Amino acid sequence: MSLKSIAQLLPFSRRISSVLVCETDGFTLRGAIVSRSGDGLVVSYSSRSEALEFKDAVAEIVTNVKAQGWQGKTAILLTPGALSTLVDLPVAPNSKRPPEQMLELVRWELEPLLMQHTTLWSVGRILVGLGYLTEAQATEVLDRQQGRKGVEDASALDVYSFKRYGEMAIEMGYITHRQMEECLTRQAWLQGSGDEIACGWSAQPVAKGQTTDEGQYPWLVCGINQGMMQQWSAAFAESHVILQRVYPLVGCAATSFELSASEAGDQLLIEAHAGLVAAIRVVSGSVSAINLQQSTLKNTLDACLEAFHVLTPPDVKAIWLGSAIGESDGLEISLTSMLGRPVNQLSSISSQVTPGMLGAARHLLEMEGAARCCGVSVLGPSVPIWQSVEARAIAAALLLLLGVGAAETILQLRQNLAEQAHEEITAQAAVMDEAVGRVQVQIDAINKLKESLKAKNDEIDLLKTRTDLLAVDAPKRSAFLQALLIELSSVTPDDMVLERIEETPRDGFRFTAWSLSEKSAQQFVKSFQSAMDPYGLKVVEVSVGSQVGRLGLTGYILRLRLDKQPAPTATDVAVGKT
Amino acid sequence: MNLRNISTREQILIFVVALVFIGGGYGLLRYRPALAELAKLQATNVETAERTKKAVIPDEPNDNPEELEADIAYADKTLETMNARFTQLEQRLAPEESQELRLSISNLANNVGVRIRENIPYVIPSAAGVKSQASPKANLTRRAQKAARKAAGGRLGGVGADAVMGTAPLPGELSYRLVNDLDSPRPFQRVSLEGNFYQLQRFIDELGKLPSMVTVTQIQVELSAQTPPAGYPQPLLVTMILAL
Repeated sequence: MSLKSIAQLLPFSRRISSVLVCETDGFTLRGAIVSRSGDGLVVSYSSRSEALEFKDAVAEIVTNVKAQGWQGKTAILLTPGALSTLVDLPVAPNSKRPPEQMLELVRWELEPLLMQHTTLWSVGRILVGLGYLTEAQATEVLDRQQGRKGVEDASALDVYSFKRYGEMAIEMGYITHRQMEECLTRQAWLQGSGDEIACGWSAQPVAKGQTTDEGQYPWLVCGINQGMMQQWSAAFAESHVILQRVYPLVGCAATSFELSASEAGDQLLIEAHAGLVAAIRVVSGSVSAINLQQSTLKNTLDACLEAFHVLTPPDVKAIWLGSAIGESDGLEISLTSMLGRPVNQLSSISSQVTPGMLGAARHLLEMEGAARCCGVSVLGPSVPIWQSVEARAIAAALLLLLGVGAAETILQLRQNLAEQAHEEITAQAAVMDEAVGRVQVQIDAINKLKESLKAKNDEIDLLKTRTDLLAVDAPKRSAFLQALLIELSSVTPDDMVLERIEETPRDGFRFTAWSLSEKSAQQFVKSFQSAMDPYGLKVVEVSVGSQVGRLGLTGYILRLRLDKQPAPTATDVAVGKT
Repeated sequence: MNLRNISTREQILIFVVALVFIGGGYGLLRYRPALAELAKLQATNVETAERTKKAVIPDEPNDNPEELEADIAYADKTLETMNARFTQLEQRLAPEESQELRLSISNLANNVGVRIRENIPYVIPSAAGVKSQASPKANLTRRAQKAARKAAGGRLGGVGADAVMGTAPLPGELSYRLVNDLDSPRPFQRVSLEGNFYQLQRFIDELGKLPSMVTVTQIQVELSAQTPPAGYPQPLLVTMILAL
């Protein structure tokens, strides 16, 4: 599937499969539905109208083909009001200019040719075409209008300057006023109004061996009066059909596949239709020259011969003839006879369509050979797909989607990276936590054991303290008290009386004694000190003073106190050992 | 409305408006919340990584659990042994409400020939009382002293009405330990008696031979004002604080 075929699937690609092809020779309107069928075309329905007003003719044809089953919306028109020719433009085929610039270039070349072309549809010619005048009558009216003959009995000024052709013909009694009005109505559809022209163009590749002016390139161009085209477009629009393109009456048959073979060399196509004859030279599949001849309806053969001789080089390989329906039989034979060379009739898939209609349909459907034809787009020059609103809307939507997609991708990417990092970090943290937890469990177990052991040791210490209190300290206190009394009784001399023993929690034992002599008191102190040494007690605060005793005897009062001896220092222990 | 008639300027304007609405909607409703969630996840990652980086595996304990358990078992065994011994010791302590020990002391005094002049309960405040009051007796209100006496009387078997409040002992003293180190503080009695030195000596000696343990925690001896007949020993007045 090619890119082009994919593009045609898009809704704005204007892919057309069937088209209503209408053709007018200025007097009748013929229409046929041409559809694409593989690489070829097929004609489905056809209709013909000879209504005086072309608007009515269009409506009649559209109604007919829709009644036959056509459901399309697109139409094209071949009209003798359009002109196609080959011009040289300073634009290379592969370097396209903006449509506005191309339009100006083509209009500059085409405008004088188109003005000359529209003079073909004079009142006299139309009247002859309609059969209201004979050729001789038409010539006679013209001669009389121009004062050439039959004016002897009147002033030349009366008939030469102020009488129109139609008025003259009516005055001469050849036509009626109604016929004249009909003629003018026809003329309006063939000449149009205003000076604006619409153009179309198609580049023609330069064939090998063909010379062109430097910087000039051949372009097949087409033009039509803008007012006339809008008139036709409005007529189709009233029938709810869109007039897509307008083509010249002659020249479109060049798209025929018989002219596509590049190995065929130079080929010539003579297309004759309703007083117009176009000779188109095709070299290597592209148009290299066009000659357009105007003729009366009766001398088509002469116009064909004139066009042939103007255009045909000596080495032309084949001559083709494309003509209107019913005009080809005698013309083909006559041309063959007059030229002394075979003239081949273009093949036709239907007797209801002309080669020009098929060629125009082939151009619209963009089939092979479409480049050899040129039409004028009613909607204006076709813009490139990237400049169409639909394409831009889709591009904008895609751009937005792309932006959103990019943002989503970035988000997803960052999310994935963060989640991946999260998994790794969590795994590391789990390993670390597991290691810490394992050691912590051991520490907790050890601490618990230690606390339990400490509690038990504390309990043991408390119990030991209580046990010591009851088993050691309390009995030791009783033993000491007994020993103290015994020692007192043993060390107290006979001339001494213990007057008071007082034990206080803070000062310990305080002794008060009375002796007859100071010596006895000192002896008591010494002996008592010796007796208390084993108990770690020291006699302190010894005072001996003279005092009268109970019996009035003079003696000495002794006061002393027992205090705990300080613990021996390391020096004392060392000296003691020595 | 024919789309073909929209100018390039209008197309750009429509695109900008659509871009603002779609982009704004997407940004507000999707991108920002997702970005915030992502930032939260990344912050969690940084926090977890930092925590992991700063985490230190503690050194495994050097102590051998089996050794500790063995020590505990040994301590249990020691406790059992000591409890058994302490229970035996406690059996030598007279019950708090027992009058039998007081009777034994009276009998002992009679036997050794000393005369008991006074035998009243003696209250030594516990460490808790000392802690709450620097100088318990001095600082107590009359009501508080009454309450203390009542409490002490409760412990001493209803003799609190005549009880004497003692001073708080210093830590380490025997009376302090007998009050504070045991499950229940031992009851104290202040005993004043009269006798000579020999009788006193014998009384103290016999106290240690009673079935229940009696400990003299404080003693005061002074000469009696009475002059003995010639050939008789000097009578003494002795005041003792006995822990029963």
